[in-house]
Formats: sequence, structure tokens, C-alpha cells
Amino acid sequence: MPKQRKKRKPVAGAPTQARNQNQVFPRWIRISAVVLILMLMLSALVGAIASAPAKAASLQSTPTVSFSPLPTCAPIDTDHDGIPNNIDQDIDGDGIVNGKDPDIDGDGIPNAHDPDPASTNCDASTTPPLNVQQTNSGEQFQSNPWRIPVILLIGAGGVGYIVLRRRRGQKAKSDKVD
Amino acid sequence: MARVLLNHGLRNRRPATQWLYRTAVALRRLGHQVSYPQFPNPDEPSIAQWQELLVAELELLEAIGSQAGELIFIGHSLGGLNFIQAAVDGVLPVAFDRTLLVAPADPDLLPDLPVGALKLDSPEVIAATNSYAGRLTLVGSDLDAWQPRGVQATFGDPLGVTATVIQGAKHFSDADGWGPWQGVIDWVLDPAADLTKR
Repeated sequence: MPKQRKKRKPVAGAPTQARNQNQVFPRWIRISAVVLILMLMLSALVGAIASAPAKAASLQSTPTVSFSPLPTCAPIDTDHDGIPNNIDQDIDGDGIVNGKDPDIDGDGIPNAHDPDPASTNCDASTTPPLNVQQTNSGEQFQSNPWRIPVILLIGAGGVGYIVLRRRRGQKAKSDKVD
Repeated sequence: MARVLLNHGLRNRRPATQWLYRTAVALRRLGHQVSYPQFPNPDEPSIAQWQELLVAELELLEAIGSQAGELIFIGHSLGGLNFIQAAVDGVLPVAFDRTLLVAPADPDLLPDLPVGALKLDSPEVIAATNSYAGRLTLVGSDLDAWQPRGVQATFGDPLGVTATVIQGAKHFSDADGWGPWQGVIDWVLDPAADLTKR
């Protein structure tokens, strides 16, 4: 028959044993260890939470009034002269300025029938890299997908360590009592 | 610092009480390079002559060099259309870094001038304006007789810009009492400045 674990009892009848137990693991060391682990977990959690909303708030406050619409992905440079189409005075580089060019982007489709006559729409072949969020202002920031799981792992490890220590302490105590 | 070109509107003789004059003085006191010429024959303007002067003043500011700061255009009423026409005609020697159009007049109200033929929703005009304007900023009011359809519908929507609308400013003219305007001075220093500030 397996040995039945005995419930921890007050050690009123064994003050000497309790004193010995406290000498192996003094109470202040145990409390300090728990407080230290809790502080580490808390600081990691606070750091993760505090940085994200602050960044989000700054992005939300970006002024959007009065500026020309900025591309949300890589701008097109049709004539490859280094000047993006949205600020290029001769988009197709044919020597005719945009204001007088019947085919601004030089794609063979007259402006009147061209759904994107100045080719200022985003270049579909160049998309923003993964894990990068882009706002209308063109501002970018990197997000870290490992941050939350790492914090949870540290937290779980800390809690597990505390539980294990408590159980070992109880077991040692009950063994001595028995 | 900045290089600023101010272009007044129709029948305007640069009154010392209007915001354009006061802005020119304020910016010069701050050390900016400001061009504020009297455009010829303002009662019956020749757009060809106005563009000639616009180009000449722009060349002068460009010659100073980029170390003197951003190249900024501020046009009021017909002055704004003068810029758009110059952009469409491709006569400007260089693009501006920033452009502020204040109460640009509806071209439909100026049928006797070449600018009256400007079709603001045509791809040519939109592409030309954006390519020479740099960052384009638009300001109008809710009570402007020169914009019966409103600044947003007439200019903002076709050009893809959200206009700043100042209530009760009418046409921002001297007769409308639009004198000192701190917002536009601040805007020269900072494009995010509050243009509604008097």
C-alpha cells in the first residue's frame, strides 16, 4: 500500500524540530527569494506592457491633416531616375512635363482612359517586410513576437520553483515528524 | 531658415494691413529669405507675365542655395492658380519643398484668364501640381465667394489633400480684415503648426 502523505500539522509538540527547519531555510531567505522572483516577473511584464501602448499612442497622434497622401508601400519610379512618381515632374521621362503629357506614365494608355494615369499607386511587387507595421506617416517600428511567450515561460518557471521548494520542505518536515 | 515666395491675388497691391504683407515682414525679421513681389497689372493680369515673374523670383531663391532652407510657396487666390498653371505648363525651374494655397479661386470664376481653363480633376493637372508642390497644404473658409463649392470639393478632393477650413475667414482678403496671421508664420517654421491660429 502506498505511503499516504500526511497533512502538515502544527508542530506544537516539536519546537526543536521547527527551529532546526528554520535554521536550514531561514524564513527571511525564503521570503526574500519569493519577493525577488515576483519583482523580476513584474518588471518584465511592466516593461512589455509599457513600451507598446506608448508607441501606439505616439503613432495615433501623428498629424494627418494638410499633407499629400503618402504611399503606404514602396513608391513607383517609372523612369528610374531616382525621383518617385509622386514628386517627379516628368514621370515617364519622355521630355514632356506631366501637365502637358497626354500619357503621363508612358504605358500606352491615354490619361483619360488610364485607371492610374500617373502611376502613383503602390508598387504591388514590393510589400513591407514581415513584422513591420507602417502608418500613414511612413513611421515604422519592429514588433517582437517572442516577448510574451518568454515572459510567460519565466513566470511559469518561477511559480514552479516556488511550489517545488514548498513541497520539498513539507515532505522533509513530514518525514521528520513520522 | 527658409526661402519663401509669396504670390498675391487679383487686384491686390500688397496692402500693409493684409496678412501677406505682415507675414513677409515677420519672416524677414526672423531672418528668412522672403520674396514678395508686386505682380504686374493686378486688375487685368496677364498670366504669362505673372508666370514670368514667378519663375524669375523662384530662380533667385534657388540660386541662394539649399543651405538657406526649404523652398516654400505661399499663394493667395489667383496667386495659387498662377502656381498651378506654371506647374501644368512645366515652366518652373525647380519644385518647391512645400506649398501653401490659401483660398485659391475656383477656376470656373475666371473664364477670361487662361487659368479659367484649368480642369482640377484632370490627371495632368493633379500630377503636375503634386510634382511641383512638394508637400501641399490647403486652407480655405466656409464663407468664400471665390469658392462657391467649398475648398475641399473644389481643390482638396481632386488633389488628394484634406483642407484646413477656417470658419468665417471669407476670402482672407484685406477687405475681410484678415491681417496678422500667426498660424501661417508658424507653418513656415513647422509644417505641423496650427494654421487656424490668428
